[in-house]
Amino acid sequence: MTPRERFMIAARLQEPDQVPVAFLRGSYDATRIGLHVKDYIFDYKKKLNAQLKLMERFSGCAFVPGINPDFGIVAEASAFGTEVFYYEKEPPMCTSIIKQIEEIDRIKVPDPHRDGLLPKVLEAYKYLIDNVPSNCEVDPQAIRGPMDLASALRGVGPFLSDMYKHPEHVHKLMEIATQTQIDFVKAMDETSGGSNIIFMCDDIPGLISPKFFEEFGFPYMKKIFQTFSNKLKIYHNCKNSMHILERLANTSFQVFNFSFENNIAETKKRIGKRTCLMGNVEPIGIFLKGSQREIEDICREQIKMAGPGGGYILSVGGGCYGPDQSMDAMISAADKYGKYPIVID
Amino acid sequence: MENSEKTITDLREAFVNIDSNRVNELLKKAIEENIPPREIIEKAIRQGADEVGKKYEACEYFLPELVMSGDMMKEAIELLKPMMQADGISSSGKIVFGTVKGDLHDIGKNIVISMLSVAGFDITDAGVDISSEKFVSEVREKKPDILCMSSLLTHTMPELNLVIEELKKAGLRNKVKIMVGGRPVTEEYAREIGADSFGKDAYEAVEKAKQLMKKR
Repeated sequence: MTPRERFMIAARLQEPDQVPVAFLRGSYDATRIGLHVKDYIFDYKKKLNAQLKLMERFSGCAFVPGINPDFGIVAEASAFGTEVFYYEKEPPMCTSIIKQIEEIDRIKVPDPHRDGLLPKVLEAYKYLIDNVPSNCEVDPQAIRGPMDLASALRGVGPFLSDMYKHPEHVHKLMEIATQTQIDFVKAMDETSGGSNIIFMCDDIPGLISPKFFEEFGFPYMKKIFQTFSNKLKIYHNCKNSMHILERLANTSFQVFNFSFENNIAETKKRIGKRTCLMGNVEPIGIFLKGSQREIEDICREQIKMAGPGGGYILSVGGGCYGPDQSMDAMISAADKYGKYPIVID
Repeated sequence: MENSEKTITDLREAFVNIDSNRVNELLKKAIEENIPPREIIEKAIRQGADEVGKKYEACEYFLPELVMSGDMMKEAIELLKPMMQADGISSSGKIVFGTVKGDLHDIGKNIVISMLSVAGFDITDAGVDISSEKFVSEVREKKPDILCMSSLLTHTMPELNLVIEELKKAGLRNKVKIMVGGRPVTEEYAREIGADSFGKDAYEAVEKAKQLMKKR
């Protein structure tokens, strides 16, 4: 069974042969082979090579997304005219563009075939589909969730205070962000002829109260997921989301990559019967800096708590940062402790 | 209850309830009633901010409430500054504050700046994505008592060390106390890179800044 097949079985809330391991795709593909992140982004041949190399090196795990255009989190914001900053070893970042609240009235939904980096994403997607080895699938790029995109355009601080000061403008911006993402996913589908997954990243719901999530987050996230109801919906949020867990799950994603700050046993108990859980090893102290033994021990506990019954994917409760030996340790832990039926004392 | 006492109580309550319009009204009322600015800040704004912080810790409040608390503190200080200067209230110390190069995050920085302002510090906000050269020139020109730096991303943490090394090369390290903070930064890391202090949150940052001033 391939790691991707395992992933898909767990996503359907079933038990594969063993607990799958999956990592989020990021600039680590480039940096681990000494490639400048900007080269990785714009040279599609190098991008494909870097992603394939990572998959070859870590054949025991899946990546989310798999082979994909991977322009980082700046792609959609760039379509609104934000300035993008590139770094040698880190993913690109962008600045906010809405300085005054009234500017929201003048913002338009961008055209994914024309604006910012989005046409480049489509071009890269096409290249990958045409050039990927026949045994690999190409996924669409990850999309930012609507709150995450809105906060990138407005700035996180102002976006959060706008919920108090200018709620009607927050709704307006959320509508624009939501439509942007729907159009973007549809454009990627036109390029590929239709994909099987949608992967959305949005941390902002974890930062706000249940009341604000209900008003400003839930309807928009749900609209995007409902628009693509035939796809496997994967959602990443690396902030504590215990306070809105059931409502988040009601937006109807099937796989939840959740924060290390969430209690995994309680998360499993509350939403594990309807949502496949993907997580949640602490990313910095344990995954980045821990010894192989420490990582394996933590993974063992996670498998023990969330693995039985299926619907569980072992992963990091935050972005994937490498290094190689940490990824190896996690894969090794799944091999040792994650065989179904799970028996751990 | 005296008028002024009621105004302070109402102001504190409005602050805790994140009612920014009411806070502005009551601040103006407090000024009209000639309540000393120190009393307004201490009994209404600072205590209100403390209460907001406790509610955040208890998961009753979330980040929008902390951001609003920071905004309201900033507006209160702006409004009261002329009165504070006229009253000859002295500054608790001078601080230059910035987020390191490669890091565009500013929520944490802004909240800490608001808290430090309420505690009477005179702050220069250097902004975000600040290079080590820029930090060095800020220290050289502004001559702060404390340089505060934040890093919210694991990969920008080494910039904190770089700034300290550059300050040493420029012969300025012994002229300024250095406090660092940010989500991935730990007390151990702060010690490793030779910072003088570490603040795990806005409240601790204020206390640590006061302690650093005693060592000046």
